[in-house]
Amino acid sequence: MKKKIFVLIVQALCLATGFSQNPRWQMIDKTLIPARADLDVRWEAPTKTIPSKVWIYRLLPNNFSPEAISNVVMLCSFTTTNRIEQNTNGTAFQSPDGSRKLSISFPSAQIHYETPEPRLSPTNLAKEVPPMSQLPELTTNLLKQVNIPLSAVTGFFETDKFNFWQPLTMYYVSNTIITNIAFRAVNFRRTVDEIPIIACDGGSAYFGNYGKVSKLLITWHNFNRYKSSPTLKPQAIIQLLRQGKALQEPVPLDVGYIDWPTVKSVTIKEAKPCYFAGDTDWLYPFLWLDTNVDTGHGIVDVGIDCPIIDETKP
Amino acid sequence: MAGALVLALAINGLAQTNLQFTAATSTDEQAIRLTWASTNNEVYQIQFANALATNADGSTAWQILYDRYPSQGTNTFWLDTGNYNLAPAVMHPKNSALRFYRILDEGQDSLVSDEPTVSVTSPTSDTVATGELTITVVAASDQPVISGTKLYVDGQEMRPPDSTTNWTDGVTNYEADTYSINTCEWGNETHTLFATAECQSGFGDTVGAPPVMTGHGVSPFVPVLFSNLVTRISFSQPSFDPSSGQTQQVSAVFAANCNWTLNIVDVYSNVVQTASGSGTSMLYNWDGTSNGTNLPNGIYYYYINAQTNGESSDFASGGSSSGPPSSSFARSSAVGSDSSELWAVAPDSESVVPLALYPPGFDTNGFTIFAASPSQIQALRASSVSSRTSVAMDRGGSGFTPAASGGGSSASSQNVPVTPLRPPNNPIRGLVGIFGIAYDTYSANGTNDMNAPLLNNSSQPSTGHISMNNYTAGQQLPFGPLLPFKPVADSFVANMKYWGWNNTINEADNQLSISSLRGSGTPFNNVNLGVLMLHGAYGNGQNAIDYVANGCKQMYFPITFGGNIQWLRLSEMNLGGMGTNGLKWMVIYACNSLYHANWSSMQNKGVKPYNGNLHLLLGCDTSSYSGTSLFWNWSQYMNFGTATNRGSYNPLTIRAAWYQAAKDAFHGKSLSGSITFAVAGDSACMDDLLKTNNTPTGSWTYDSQQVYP
Repeated sequence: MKKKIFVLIVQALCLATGFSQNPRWQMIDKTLIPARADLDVRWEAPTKTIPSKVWIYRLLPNNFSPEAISNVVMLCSFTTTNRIEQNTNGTAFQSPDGSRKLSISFPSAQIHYETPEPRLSPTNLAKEVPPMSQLPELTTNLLKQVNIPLSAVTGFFETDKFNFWQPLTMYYVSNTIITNIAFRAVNFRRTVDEIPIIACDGGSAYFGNYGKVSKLLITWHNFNRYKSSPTLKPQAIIQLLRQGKALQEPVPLDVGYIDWPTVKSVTIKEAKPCYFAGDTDWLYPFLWLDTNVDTGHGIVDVGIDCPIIDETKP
Repeated sequence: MAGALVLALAINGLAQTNLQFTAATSTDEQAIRLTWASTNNEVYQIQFANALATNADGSTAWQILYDRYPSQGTNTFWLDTGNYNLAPAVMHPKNSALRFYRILDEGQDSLVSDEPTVSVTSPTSDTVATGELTITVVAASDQPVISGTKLYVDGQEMRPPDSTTNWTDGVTNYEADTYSINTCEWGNETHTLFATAECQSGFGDTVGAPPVMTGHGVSPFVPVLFSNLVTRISFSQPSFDPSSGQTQQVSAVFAANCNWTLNIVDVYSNVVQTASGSGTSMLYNWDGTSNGTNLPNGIYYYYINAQTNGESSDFASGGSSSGPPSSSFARSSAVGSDSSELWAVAPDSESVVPLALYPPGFDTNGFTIFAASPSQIQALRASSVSSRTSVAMDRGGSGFTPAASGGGSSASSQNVPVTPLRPPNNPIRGLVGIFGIAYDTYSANGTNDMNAPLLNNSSQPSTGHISMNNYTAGQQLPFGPLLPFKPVADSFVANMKYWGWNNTINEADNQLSISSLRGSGTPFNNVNLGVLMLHGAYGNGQNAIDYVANGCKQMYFPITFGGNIQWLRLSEMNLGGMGTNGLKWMVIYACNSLYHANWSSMQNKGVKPYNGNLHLLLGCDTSSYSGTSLFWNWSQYMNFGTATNRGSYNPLTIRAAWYQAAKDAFHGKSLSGSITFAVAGDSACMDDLLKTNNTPTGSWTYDSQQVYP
């Protein structure tokens, strides 16, 4: 008991002072997979996706270049007369009627633009929303204007460079369905050393009527390298899984849950390094595993997060 | 105020043989503090009854008052201040004429060898606290799940934490929670802060896991001296409804004679009512108006300011609210001099004797034990009331008592932080609405799936079954347990209640019958807002044409009763209720519950699971995941908004809150597919807010948005 309380205090201090001796690579509500020495783990993933070493980074503010700020202000149809705030922490713009707002925050390295949702109806449909085919070009141009290199961007799934999507509205009028797309949107994540960042840097943009940006949210920090560490080999990663040092990602509702003590086997199909920041000032690496879990009742596709470096070393 | 009785009856629990009350005392607020001899690592349930022997067989109908309360060691205490999260609510004992208690020992933690650790890291012991106090609780467990911490002040559970941070170092899970209390809502004395934590060995998805084994931790006690000029701020109603004639009595006691001002402030920081006065205490009866002008229902905060005036503490004058002194103004008075102690009545005896007569360790199982002052016992004896019948301890008119120890405040003025923060009081004027929630955890087979044969579709010429989710005739759909639905539902209920909603339906598993979901007679049609959490499936392929439902393709929901599953067709529902308490907004949270293609098919075939009273039906276009915070977010966003500070009231529309809640719940996850949520609704109601909504026109719209990534 005393030992645990001691650990507790150390962790609490880490919380208060930021990164210290024991950085966190996850802090979201995932399930710790229990230790099980006899867990049947099979590695079938290519290993070329795992670099020989990875870095820990410290996140820094981003003052964004004057050129990027100027471009964003124009993109959001503001002029200097709309500026309502400007100081060392950033700048903010607002339309005269208060409905459109743009804020650029240097400490949080964030650009945030919001417009009110347009009131659409069967007789007032969205106009000239760019087709999905135009979104790659629109997105590429947008990123250029904010000085974000395309090479530092990735999507969310295997085939993604960007994740494009659209909402769907259907009006039922006199037994007729009128379909309307109010906007089309893009989501993207940032990569560092070609490794995607989870829950921090990246962004999204909505393109609405006449192709105008109706919503923009970009987080893009500066950062410093802190230290590098060699990555673990597959056999070590399998051992960590068996030692209960990995986390299970959520599974769909129709799967229910994974009863790990009765799992027959885990087959690792893919291993991808990722960075996690969450609400900390640090980018810390971990390994995302795409696995097939034989639950004894069937095969379930389960995402597993585990350490990618030896975290017992300082 | 009615008198209250404390009758303590100890019973043998599941494992412990020495379970007995050691004290039952009334606090200066007329809450009842129960103390009993306990055993390490046991978990207790506090039960109550308003009368004994009410059952036909002469037994007592005990009801659960508080559950899963972990042992504090060889002695455990708990404070009864009522339980307003139950349906119906259990009132504060000061509002109850009689209350009998018993403690059930629920047995030892199944994780007795690996209990979680928990500690209050801030403030530290013997801190002197003034005004708002921020408390940090940190819990740790090597078990897979920490299912939250709870903060207690003097044995009363506080509200959930303002913020929670979870993390792991790969071996141990941690949770750091931050709570806020307003110390002016207690007396100037030393108060005991402690926290509890529960861990689970179960393994699940995001919400946590089934409680295969559980463990509890209790932090060391942290004594903190509350020291304020303004003390014991209290409210007569947890929330109040002026339309039913209620008023809100706001009272406080001052450490010295003061000139005081009470400002009642709406969510936009406008002062809507002011009262002032002087004396050593205040009591203001708010009728919910602004000097007689009616105000809208909603959130109103109370701010008290006081300055010492140099008058003696005997001096008092009436309060006023922009006019003559309020007739309801009242001064405090001291309680009687003889203090409360424990008394006992042995089985088959009518003699009341001091409990202290019995030696330590004496088996008092079966005794009737209660707290009373000697004068009260004298009165009791004089009235020849048998100890076998109800014994009343009249504490009426006791009012406020001076500070018991230490406290006091040397400050000459104080601007009290926002109140109320202390449970069960809410900053609500008027009843916002009525809501219900029901869910199925599909756990009849323990950790194994429950399998459902495809729905028979006898008119289907080729297969005779409706194909769903790409399953075809001869196959069964497996549905895994969804135990995470319970904590999701609990957090939703707690948040909705905080914002002034009344919960009249809270059903799970076998309490939820398929017949109660079919047709217009569903109980959900008698609440304003309903939530149904289930597994879902959608018909696909040619064999999905549902000949029972006008040949449409639609959605289906498995409903369990014990180990059996029956299918509920979406088309069998008739959602929507008339009148003030009628159903306007309904969530069916299940995979594909609003699959857009089949929803269109239903519309095309004129198959409508709603009537003209329903405003919105919310659900999922695609598969979804259980997100811990999804429903808590939704309640928070549509009742208050997305901001975390109290001054930024900006509630989202019900539809926008649904999307935003999901986006935030799934943020930072690495999921294998995108998730799209959907809202179908009357075109006039798509932008309904909880407080302002439009009358349905009969023309419907379907709307969906990707919420992950």
